[in-house]
Amino acid sequence: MTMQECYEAIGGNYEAVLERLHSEALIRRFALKFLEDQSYIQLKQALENKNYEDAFRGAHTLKGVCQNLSFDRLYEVSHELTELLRDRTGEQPGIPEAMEKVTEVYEMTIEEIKKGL
Amino acid sequence: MDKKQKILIVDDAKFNRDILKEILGDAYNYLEAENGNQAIQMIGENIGIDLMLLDINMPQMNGFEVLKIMKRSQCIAETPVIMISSEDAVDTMRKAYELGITDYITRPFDSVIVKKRVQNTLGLYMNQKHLINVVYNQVYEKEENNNIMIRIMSNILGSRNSESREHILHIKTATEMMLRQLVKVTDAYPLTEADIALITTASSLHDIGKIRIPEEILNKPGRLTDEEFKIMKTHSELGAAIIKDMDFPQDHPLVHTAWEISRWHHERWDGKGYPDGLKGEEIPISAQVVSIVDVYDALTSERCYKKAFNHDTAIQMILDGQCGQFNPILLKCLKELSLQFSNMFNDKEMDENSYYHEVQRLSNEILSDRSLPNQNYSQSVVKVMQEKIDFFKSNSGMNSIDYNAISGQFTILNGEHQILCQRDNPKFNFFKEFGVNEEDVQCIRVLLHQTSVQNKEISATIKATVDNNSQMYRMKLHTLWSPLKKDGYIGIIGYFDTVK
Repeated sequence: MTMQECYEAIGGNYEAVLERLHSEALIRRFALKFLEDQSYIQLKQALENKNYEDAFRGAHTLKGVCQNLSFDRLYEVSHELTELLRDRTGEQPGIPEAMEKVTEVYEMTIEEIKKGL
Repeated sequence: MDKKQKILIVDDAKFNRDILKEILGDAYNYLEAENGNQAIQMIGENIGIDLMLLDINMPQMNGFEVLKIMKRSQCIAETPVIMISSEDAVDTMRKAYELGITDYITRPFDSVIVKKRVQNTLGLYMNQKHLINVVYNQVYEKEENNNIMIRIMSNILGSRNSESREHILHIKTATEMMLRQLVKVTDAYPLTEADIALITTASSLHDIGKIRIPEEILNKPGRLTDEEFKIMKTHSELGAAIIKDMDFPQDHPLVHTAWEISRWHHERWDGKGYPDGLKGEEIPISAQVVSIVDVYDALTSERCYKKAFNHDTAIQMILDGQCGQFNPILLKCLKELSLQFSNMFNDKEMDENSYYHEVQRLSNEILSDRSLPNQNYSQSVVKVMQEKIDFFKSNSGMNSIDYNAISGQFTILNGEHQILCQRDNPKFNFFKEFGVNEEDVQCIRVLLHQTSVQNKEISATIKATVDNNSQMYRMKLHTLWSPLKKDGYIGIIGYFDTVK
């Protein structure tokens, strides 16, 4: 599978990322690195521990990484969650649902990247 | 030597640090920090970071807190910071710029643009650092040459007349102090920093005419006869003539000021001085100042014909008009500086070291007066290190304290063994670590608050617990200051000993 096909499968924007990073090899390396990124795990653990400071940071980092890679679909859901967590109280309605969406898209993304590489 | 520039990447996500390194390539050396605390520590230790790439949201200490600390400690002026964040709210960016960042890059970023922005920022700062170095070195060299020349001259005079060497150095220091006090208390004499430096330098030449006075008179123990005194008095005219006869352009400010001082440093406010009997403000302020400090130094020094008077007596004699009349405003300045004079001149030995420091201080002063855009960190660090070494050398064998206000690292050297302590949040209280009671803490805080570049040391006796050993300690603390900026407090060194 080419990187372009991989991006199509995960709902990413391949043209955009190629325009910014200028090299398919670079994109491939970063996509691989994404598998090692800890921000999703941090986010998940922090939410389980009700540590909303860390949860916000985890979501924020995940969002930033997706933005850099133009993983648009995962970016959208993590962005939504980041904003719900921004006040660090955990009191905004809809956090568990937003997290569920992030998990769903994240797992799909990981799976597709593994398949593609 | 590795000439690659050092970039410090501060981001809690490894992914983000890696992507930046990948994009920027191996043209640079990289340092990485996972949070603000680590970053601040690295800046404190690792002098020579050429650029910092800073994230906002991080654990322990976020990007804004890092910027605040860098701004407070003034190192933001030497280390350019590019902030990289997905926060694109205008007020977030504005806040970052206000704290002193050079550039702000929002995610998602374009790899070429990031690379170019990093290159540009590094290039600009490198040029600036280079220019500052050039200026600094030139000023330094000039000042040093200047001072060496003055010393050579003092020694020539001193070889004929043993009092001269020290005398010239005293006059120079006291003249500068008086001029600074003068501009503080009145605006009647609009002296700029350049004027003060000029008069101070020229003051060294005030007695140059003595080179033409016969040695028997110059070094005669006991009172001079009227005839001899008449000859002695010609030294001011002779000095002025020496300067005038030189093939200098006479309108050069230094030449002109030196001429004024040489000729008129024995004039008096009431017109009863010599050689011209000038009165009041007819006497240039340069000569007025030199004449009063000349009298003070003559009184408080031992001469071949007299013993030294103590400081209080000397001041009183001048105020009483026993050495002639002086400008009332200068008498006021002298009174106000009395304590400083007595401290300074009690320590009669201006040794090699303090002279060396004086050279450095002068060149630094000129540098800072010109309001350069930036300070030269490496030069000043060397100086601070020297200050530390000097301090510890003079107090060897005791327990020492070393606190870096920028990195927040606190070290106690207790005999052979070291206790390390790190401030990891802004509210961290070192005193608590050593069980110091609140009253003592307040007392030390007040004392520290009163320190300044002029007044660096404090002493206190406190109860503290070091290595589970609670007892009374006497400690002496010496505050360190960034030499090129006002109020640039950067740390504390000190030592302590048990009270027996």
